[in-house]
Amino acid sequence: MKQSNNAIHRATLRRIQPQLPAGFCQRTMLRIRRRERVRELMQYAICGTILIALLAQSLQWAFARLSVRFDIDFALPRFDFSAVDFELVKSLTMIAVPLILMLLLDSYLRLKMQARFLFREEKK
Amino acid sequence: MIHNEEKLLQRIRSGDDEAFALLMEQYANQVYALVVRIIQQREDAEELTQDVFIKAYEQMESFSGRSSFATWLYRIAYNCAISHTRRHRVSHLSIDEGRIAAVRDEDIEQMEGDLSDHNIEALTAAIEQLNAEERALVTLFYYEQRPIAECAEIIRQSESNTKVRLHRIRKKLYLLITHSKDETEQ
Repeated sequence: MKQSNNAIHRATLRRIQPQLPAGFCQRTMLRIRRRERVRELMQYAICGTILIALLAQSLQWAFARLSVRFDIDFALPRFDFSAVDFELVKSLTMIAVPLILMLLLDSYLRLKMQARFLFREEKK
Repeated sequence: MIHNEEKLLQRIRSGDDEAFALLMEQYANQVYALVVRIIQQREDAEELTQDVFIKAYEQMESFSGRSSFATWLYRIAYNCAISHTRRHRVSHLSIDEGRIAAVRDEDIEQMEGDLSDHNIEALTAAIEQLNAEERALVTLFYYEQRPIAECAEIIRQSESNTKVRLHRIRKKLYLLITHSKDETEQ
């Protein structure tokens, strides 16, 4: 039986097609963007917390290491630093390394967020 | 239309949310109509339709393109609306399975072929009394006129199971309209 000659089909047409109120799409897009922003902020908050924790840990580690003397068997490149400067450079390096690592992690996360809409390639 | 949709999907893939807004404008009223017909509440339907599009946007990665975008979107809408009715425990009329099984195919054919105003009116009222899953299937198959295969994909059932469900719905509708006829005659 053709749908147009079907009483059930005609009965479904009896009801008025509901229409969405004006501005629905704008409101939905606003909600979508707000959710995206919240998610982004949460990711930054997590990364920031990890960064601060790592920095605190490395500073603690660096300061602890500064007071420790150790003998190294192999020859290290020697810079013409005074003893005070050498300790300063050493502690700055210890702070800079985790910082660079965190910046790299941040770049990686940004790229991942940009690529979140890339679809998985269809397996055909 | 489909070519245009493919272009929009490509733009969404590259992170353009304006393209998603265009796609939403295309489907918003259809999705809303389906949701309203399933949950039978206009107040909650708008928010639920928003949820459908938010889910679609966030789960866009899982859209592999095996089915059409419309089918995929309808599946999300169907799941959201059905979950909503389950959460709100909407009561519906239950009919004894024995009575449903006893309805003859000829009676259904007669009901479907009767285009009188009285019969169509009775059917409209009977559809309202079906449960959410049944109303969804009636909307998809009879109102939207989607093929069985597509309906099956949306409700995540096999084609044969969908056909069986539709047949059972027809029997139920027959019982509901004969029951209402009996009531008016008394």
